[in-house]
Amino acid sequence: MPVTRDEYRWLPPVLVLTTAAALFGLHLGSSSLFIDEVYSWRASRGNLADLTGAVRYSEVTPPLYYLILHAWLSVSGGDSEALLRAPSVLCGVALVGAVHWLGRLVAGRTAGLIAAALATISPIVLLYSQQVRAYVWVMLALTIAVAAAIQATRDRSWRWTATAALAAVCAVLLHYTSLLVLAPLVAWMCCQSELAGRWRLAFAAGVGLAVAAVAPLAIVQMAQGHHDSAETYASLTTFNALRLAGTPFDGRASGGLMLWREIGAVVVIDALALLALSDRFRRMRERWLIVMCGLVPLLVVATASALAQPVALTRYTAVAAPFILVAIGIVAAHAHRVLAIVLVAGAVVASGAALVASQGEHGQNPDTRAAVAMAAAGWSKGDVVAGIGLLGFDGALSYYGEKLLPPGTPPVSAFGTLDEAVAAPSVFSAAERRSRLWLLADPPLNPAQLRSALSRLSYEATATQVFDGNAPVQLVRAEPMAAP
Amino acid sequence: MTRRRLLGARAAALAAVGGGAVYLLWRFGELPQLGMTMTIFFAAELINYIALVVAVVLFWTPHRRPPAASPPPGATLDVFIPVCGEEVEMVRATLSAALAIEHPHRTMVLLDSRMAGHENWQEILDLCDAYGVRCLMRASGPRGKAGNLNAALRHTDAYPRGINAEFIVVLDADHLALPDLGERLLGYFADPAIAFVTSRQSFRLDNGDMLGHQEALFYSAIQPAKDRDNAAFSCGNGVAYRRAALEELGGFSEWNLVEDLHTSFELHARGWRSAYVGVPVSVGTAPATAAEMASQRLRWATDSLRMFFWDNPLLKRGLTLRQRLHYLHTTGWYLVAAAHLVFLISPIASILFGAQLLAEGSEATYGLLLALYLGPVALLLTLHVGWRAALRTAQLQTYLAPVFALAVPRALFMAPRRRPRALHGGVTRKSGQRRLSWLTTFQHTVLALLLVSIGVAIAQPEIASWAVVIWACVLAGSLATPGSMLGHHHDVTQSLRIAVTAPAIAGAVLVGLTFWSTEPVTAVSAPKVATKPAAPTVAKLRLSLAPPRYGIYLGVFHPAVAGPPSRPVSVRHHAPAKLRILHRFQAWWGPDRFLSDKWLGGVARHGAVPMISWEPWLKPKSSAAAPNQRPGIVRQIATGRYDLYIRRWARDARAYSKPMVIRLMHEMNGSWYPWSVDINRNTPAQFKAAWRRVHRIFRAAGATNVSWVFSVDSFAGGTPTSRDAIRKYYPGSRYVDWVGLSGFNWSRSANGGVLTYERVFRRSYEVVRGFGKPIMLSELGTASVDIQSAPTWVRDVMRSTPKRFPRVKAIVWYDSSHPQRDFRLRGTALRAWRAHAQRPIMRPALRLRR
Repeated sequence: MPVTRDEYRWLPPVLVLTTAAALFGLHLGSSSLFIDEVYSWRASRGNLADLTGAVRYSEVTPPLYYLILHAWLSVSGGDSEALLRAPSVLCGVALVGAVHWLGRLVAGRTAGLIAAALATISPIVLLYSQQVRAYVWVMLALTIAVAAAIQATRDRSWRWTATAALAAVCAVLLHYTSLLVLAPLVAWMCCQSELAGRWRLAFAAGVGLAVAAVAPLAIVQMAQGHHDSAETYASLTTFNALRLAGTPFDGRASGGLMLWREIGAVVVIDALALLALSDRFRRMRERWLIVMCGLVPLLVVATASALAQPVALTRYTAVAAPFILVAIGIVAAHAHRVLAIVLVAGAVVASGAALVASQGEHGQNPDTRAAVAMAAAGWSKGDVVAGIGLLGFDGALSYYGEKLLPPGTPPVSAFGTLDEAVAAPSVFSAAERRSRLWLLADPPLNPAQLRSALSRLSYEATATQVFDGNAPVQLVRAEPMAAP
Repeated sequence: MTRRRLLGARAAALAAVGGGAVYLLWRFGELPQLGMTMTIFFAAELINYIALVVAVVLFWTPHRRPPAASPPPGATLDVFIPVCGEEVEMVRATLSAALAIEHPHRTMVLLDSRMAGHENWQEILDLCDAYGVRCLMRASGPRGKAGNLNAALRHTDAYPRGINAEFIVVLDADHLALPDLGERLLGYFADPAIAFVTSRQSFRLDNGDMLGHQEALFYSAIQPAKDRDNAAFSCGNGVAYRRAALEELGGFSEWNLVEDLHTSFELHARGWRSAYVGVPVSVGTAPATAAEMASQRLRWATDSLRMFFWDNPLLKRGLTLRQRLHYLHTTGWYLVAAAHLVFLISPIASILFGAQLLAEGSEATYGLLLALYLGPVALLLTLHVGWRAALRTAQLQTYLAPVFALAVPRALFMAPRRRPRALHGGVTRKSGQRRLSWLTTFQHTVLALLLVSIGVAIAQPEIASWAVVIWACVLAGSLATPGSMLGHHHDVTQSLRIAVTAPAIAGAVLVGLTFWSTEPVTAVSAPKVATKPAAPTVAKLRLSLAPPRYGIYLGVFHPAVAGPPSRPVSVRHHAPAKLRILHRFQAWWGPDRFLSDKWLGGVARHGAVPMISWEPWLKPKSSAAAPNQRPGIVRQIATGRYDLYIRRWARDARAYSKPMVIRLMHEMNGSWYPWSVDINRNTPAQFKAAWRRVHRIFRAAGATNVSWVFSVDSFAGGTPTSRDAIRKYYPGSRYVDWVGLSGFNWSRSANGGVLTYERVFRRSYEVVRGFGKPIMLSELGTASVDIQSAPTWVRDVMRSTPKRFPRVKAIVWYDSSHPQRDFRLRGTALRAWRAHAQRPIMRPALRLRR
């Protein structure tokens, strides 16, 4: 019997998923853990009581992700970087599949395939698929919720409605930013007269209950003021505005790349605008849902940053990325060929540039692991490590200090400035014992300042090394001065 | 138009005239600060404003002519259909519709077989035969529609008297007449003074009126107002003429490219009257692409401007004053619209080539006043024709500005006695096949450059004002609609339009939000002074430090006055000097990164003004140099990364409310700081943008008590920057209150031997004097290791400054140990310093200003 093309329909999506799995799994543990990832690790490693306390007082997200991570750590029995990140990788691959499903549901197989392919190379999907955080999970839950809701209206099926509601509830329990997508989704569902009124009501009530359930926790978390530290880099500058507009193309590398960011932003805006306004898509019933799911998070975050709290970070608009990618897929599949080529080429260029940058030395997380590993390699009994510099450095230090330094080493302390560090009792007593000091600094210390501070302890720096990353980390080995 | 709507439109018109006057007066006041570009720009704005005022006067009262009575009994009618190369099928449809006109008439096809390179005249003849219609064909005489019509007039004259029709209706070959055409037009001829009745044009536009062909503003507001003053002119199609009037004129005017406007003009000048019917009597086709439309509008503009230049309505005999003004407005409008070219090019010139269009810091005022001017204009247009038609009108005027500009030389070169030659034989192609044309090349180039400019400005926010970027976005959005009409394929043109317009609008919104976020400034940042201050105090008025009328302020940087905030400020070491400025350095990073109330209070208690050298770095403990410490810091400040931190300072400075001095990013012409010239790829533009941003944030916060010192290192110390380069870093006189100089005698043991006071400062003084600001020697000192020369140096400074450097109004000694040299005043040098500090010239009273 002759083989027809239709028999190989499964092949492209499978290829895309395989590529996604390979890309997301590649170098999974190669980058040091980022501070927020260590917070996730800290929250999930203990018992459930510890988890509750950690989520309540040191996080600004609901608890579901930490529960999942907690279960995963219990099952897997390890907590290496690769193991910590593995659930996110699986989730990322599932997200690519969900994007394919949604695109195909709304606008056919080609649209789904293009959207999935773009999701595979999307820097933000890659970033969060390799991060021990909830972002890729909430993206997945929302994509499933939207796709199931569309399927429900088409099939007039309560099963799909229930699936959509379940996914939406999960999304709420994963991250508060899910509301930016759920708001248009609930509004859209309420307008779907094909669905029985009680199902629509049940869907809205499910989401509402989930929101009500997490609201008290959110109030407690907000009162902790964790976000205050983000004020310095989350205000709506032109650079951040561009990052928001080009959310699917924003990756780990945080500097430069303005041209590619502009291209990415234009691709996003064009795709959403064409899908919303072009007569070509007028018959597509769900186009406004996709557009709103992609647009509302961007608008809300940008407006909030401009008028209220600085929150202009793509971690808050990441929930829009799957829908933006689906919009690009739909437009590319159905628009004039030249426009489609330009749009897809723009998306690929923006993604490619960001991916290359994020894989480069300056695109990796601060390389705390290498710095601590070097300290561990030259470790002697009684040595002391101190972290100096920016907030957050201590988080990664605590993980690597525990993993790499010899057992029995006291926890790594972190200090705002070098002066504070050398005046600290732990450092001072080490100096009295004439033990070696290991200083880990972000940003690197000024040599003269270092010399001066160490001289107060009668110490001198005997070795220094700077480790690259999207923020440089400096390791200094200080030893007592030789007697004159 | 309803009465309520009319009242609204009039109110909007008055608001526009008033708002425009305020705006232009303000702009006029800004002119002296700006250059030639701005003057040209202002001239274009002024021309447009004058046109607006004339239009408001002329179109104040629209006229709605009542429907016509029945046509005069026995009125005979000839319907002329000039054919100049149109497609046979199009002519067939026109002919069928013309034959269906209910009023008794004769239909004639007027064919110029030479026109437009078409060879279908034989087919037209066959068509006329088939319909039994007379075809008057010619192959000689003047080319064009007027020639055809006049040939027809002469030909029908040859009929025996009594057969000639009394009235003639001209129908273009692509217009389908409505059956009641005769009833709608001929009734007005009951008035024997009426020479012609013109009607509203209507077009069949399957894909929407993207090119504004329906001309709603013209047919709904302008023509009715002209009709009131007997100045409505013929639009060439769907016009009924009285044969007698045409015969008096000697036929249709052949003076111009097309006959309609000039024929109307001549008839009015001969005392004939006209009537305008506000309803269409035919439905036609319109140019489907921007290229075809540009060609059509170039012809119209050339014709109108030719009248303006060579047969000016003001000089025409026989016209009333209002008729003259109406014709002047009609013919001169294209000149006004051509001036829009300046608006089109300006943002590109500003972003890509640095042309200055706005005075520094005036963006908010500009935006507000422009909104007060253009807002009512937009409302006026909307009330007349609805928002969509108003938008199309604005878009089209912008898009066609280069075409109108091109018409100006064309009209000038077409001398009055020379018969003009039209493009493409005077026929507008309406097939939709003409996608590109050299006439639209310029617009597409401008659109592309606008998009590039927006991209560049967003990537480098410091190079252009946010107002200019938003303006570029608006222009790009405006050009996108007509610019996308490259073919008749609706789907493609719509996609193209959306693809350009959406990012342009998003760009404008993002830039606006970014501005709002980073600079929540009150729109007009004029100093706010209470109308009746109960008891004005320095604190309430937030006065800043002004130079003394006589004398020199003396200040110091010394550990006793600049130590950690926890340590009390003491001036005992410098007694009995009257210290007016107490100086300290504060870095943006480190434990002491915020303004200290305690220190400020300590300074104030001594009756001095605090001066802070505000350094965006983490100060090294034992070094004065760390140039590579924070790469990109200047750019980051300019792009708003540290706005929150700066804003906090601004709030604290405002709260202090007494005068204070900030010396921001000093000695940028050195090589030892991260913000220095040529360090970390810093550029003058970035430095200026950063400075202005900081300044704006302080102004926005109301910290008017802060004086700003632009402080450079004296050139004698061997700085790598050439003297003239420093000018490039000067942020502008609006942003600087004092100019500072740092200079030291590094003592004999340093390279170059003793640096005398004169040698340290002379060259630098001569350069910075050019900025026209009071000068402060913001850091000066002499190395104390040179015990012999230090007292002499101190005496020289304290004694000779008023005569040697008369612009110096403040001297702030660096009385401290430096990592490389000890500059403390000690021993004889200190005694000399104290002695001279007691002189009245070194103890002026503090002078403050608003």
